[in-house]
Amino acid sequence: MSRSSTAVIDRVAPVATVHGATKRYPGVLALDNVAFSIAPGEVRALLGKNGAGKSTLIRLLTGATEPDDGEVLIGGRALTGSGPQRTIEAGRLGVRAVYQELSLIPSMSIAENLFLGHWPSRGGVLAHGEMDRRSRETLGGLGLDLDPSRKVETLSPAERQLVEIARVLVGEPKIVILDEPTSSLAAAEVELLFKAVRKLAAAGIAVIYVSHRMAEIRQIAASATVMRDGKVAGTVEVAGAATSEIVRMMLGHDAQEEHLVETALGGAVVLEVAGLVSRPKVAGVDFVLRRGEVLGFAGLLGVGRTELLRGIAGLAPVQAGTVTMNGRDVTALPYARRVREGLGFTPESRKEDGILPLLGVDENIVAADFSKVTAFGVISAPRKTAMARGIIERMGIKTARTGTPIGTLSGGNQQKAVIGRWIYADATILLLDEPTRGVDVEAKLQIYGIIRDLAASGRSVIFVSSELEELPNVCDRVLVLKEGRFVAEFLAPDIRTEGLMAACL
Amino acid sequence: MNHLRRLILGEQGLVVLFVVAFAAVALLVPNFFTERNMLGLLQSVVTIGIVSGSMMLCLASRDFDLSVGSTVAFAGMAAVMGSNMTGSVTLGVGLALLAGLVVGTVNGVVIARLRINALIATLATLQIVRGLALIASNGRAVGVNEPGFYTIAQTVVFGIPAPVWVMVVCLAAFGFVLNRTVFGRNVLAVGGNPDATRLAGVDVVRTRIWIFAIQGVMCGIAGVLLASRITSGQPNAATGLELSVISACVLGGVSLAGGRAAISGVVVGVLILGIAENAMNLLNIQAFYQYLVRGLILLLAVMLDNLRSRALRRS
Repeated sequence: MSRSSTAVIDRVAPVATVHGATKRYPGVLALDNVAFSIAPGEVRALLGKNGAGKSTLIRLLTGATEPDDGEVLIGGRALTGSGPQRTIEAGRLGVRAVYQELSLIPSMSIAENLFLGHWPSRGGVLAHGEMDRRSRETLGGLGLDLDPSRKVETLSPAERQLVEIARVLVGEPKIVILDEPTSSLAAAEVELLFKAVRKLAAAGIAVIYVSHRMAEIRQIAASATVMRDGKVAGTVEVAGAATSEIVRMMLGHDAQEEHLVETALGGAVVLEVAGLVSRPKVAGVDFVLRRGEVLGFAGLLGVGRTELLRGIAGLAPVQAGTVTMNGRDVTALPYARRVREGLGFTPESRKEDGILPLLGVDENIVAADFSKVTAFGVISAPRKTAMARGIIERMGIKTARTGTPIGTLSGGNQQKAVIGRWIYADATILLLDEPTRGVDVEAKLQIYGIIRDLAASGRSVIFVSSELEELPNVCDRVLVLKEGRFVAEFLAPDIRTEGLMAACL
Repeated sequence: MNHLRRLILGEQGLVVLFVVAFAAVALLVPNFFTERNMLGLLQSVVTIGIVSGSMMLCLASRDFDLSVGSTVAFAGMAAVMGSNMTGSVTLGVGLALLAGLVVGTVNGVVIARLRINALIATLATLQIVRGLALIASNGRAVGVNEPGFYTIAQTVVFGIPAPVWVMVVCLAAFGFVLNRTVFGRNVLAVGGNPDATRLAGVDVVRTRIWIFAIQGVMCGIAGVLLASRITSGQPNAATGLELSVISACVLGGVSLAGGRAAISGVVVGVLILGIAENAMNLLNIQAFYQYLVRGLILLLAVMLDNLRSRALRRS
């Protein structure tokens, strides 16, 4: 710990303290003698790779988990309950968390969601008027102009995120935990969120801000705690710490600044899209994709990147335009036929649409094309294992056995397997929708490497990402989508995050 | 055309369709819209109606209860045998409600606390409770000795039989509970997103146990009224009730995925089932066809609901 942050803690009694906390899960030491402390009104960034122990630390604070050793104090009082009682106890002491996975109830109104579990009532009967009034106050306090009686299912993802944040303000929060709160927000909405966070801090509420976007952390947090391998690697003043220093603390070694892109354009056109319209988001898109090219699609959240990919893949209805693969017009063909023509698609929501969580890594890979591992319709176990092993090695998937259920792997390894599925199926045109979402820093670098290897071996890739910073690392060319059309094109090596950002806005 | 479409696919679309169907049946089927037939119709749906209210809560919380038919029969047996043995109708009724409460609580604890799948758990209690009813009576119907027991179903208040009043009060109470009480909102929240609800500090396990306990008590009430109407405890009574009750709820737009329910829909669902049966009886249509028609109605209602939610998402 740096001296300055200790000084802050000395001055004011901390609102939350974790002492010598150790937590073991089967086969993993998730937390190893961790000490953590945060003062009222402090905004603290919490960083670390996936599996570094961030989530477990948060779960300790919210009472969702009990430590095997050590204790958790909120407002000077140790949490003593167990099971659901512990969560309730922590909640009563003022701990609130906003999770990455949205935890709203779509069929209920905004007001009802704001007061979920703490509905204002008299003798068990709801006080609708009071609920409505207090909802308006809370939403207004965050600068949100939303009708509290609107159902959450009618809100945009960003609006839902903001409602989720408004929710923690109801009651008397002392410490608010925000888990990657900006991952689904557009730039303007991020500003709204920051305003809200500053209001919280000004009101003396401690905020733990889990994020990896250094630019945001620098704007919002005074100090940062970095975790690595279940331990606190250090707590630093953000203003005095270089990004490279923080990355070093996260990784435990110097991250190599790799420039992966060596552009060699001019291959044959493998995919041509002309005048593609897929209502309501895609309003007329033209582009070509060449052999061996990695083409990035940039654009703000909700601009229609996913809809465009799904239109190209034949998964979304298209009202006008043509899609030509390897010189053949496939506009009228369904998705399954396009796959046979060499298309591969990895969806944005890996957990819901990408993997079969209970089946083995091997089954997940060969699922794209069983004909390669079957004889007369019967799956050959040795062939399946051999095929899967080839992909696992090529993609660097970390798994104990080829048959390990894929749901137990880390997000990064799951994603590698999902991409590997299409390598196995000999897809030549890969559409990757947010392949690095929810994946740790190391796995991201590996995925960039895999994509460049694919391009080098003559495959063509469309890479969609909402993290503009990563496009320059992977893409030969980037197209910027705005209001349903492409408005700008960038060619490597002249792809810069700032330029992309400017074109998106 | 567009206006009609919006009306049918809107929030109250089901009610609108019901009114239209009711008017059509009233005009086309002779003797349907008479006071006598209306009262008969309402009496025929008392059992389904009473249990539907609590089943609505159960489905809305993403749970499932197949054991209601057996519990109704078991509670009916308990009421008749209890009154016969003690000579007190009150004690008999109390015993029936207690029997329902016990079955429901056991269901709730097994499902919510021990985390057994609700479908399997209540499939088991369906058989266990039916078995208990058969064992208790040695498989035979048990006649009522206490004259006071008949009068429960025969009492008429303001020209309407008491069981119908009980049903109306129960359904109104469940409507109030669902929309206006903390418990009702907790039920919908649990069904809408159990993890989020747990994290918000709601005791999800206890809420779910309560739902099943209430369901059991409602089965107890329905069992007493049914036994009183048929003047005996029948171990084979109310067979297949669970399917009718779940049909009525689904007809009324209650989502099997949880989180979505409205009492107006459930009332309409119950009445649609009752009217279909009643109209076919009046038209002398063979009972076998009623299964066919009920199945078709259910299928149509679910497809309509599907259309409606898609229309909702588009807007």
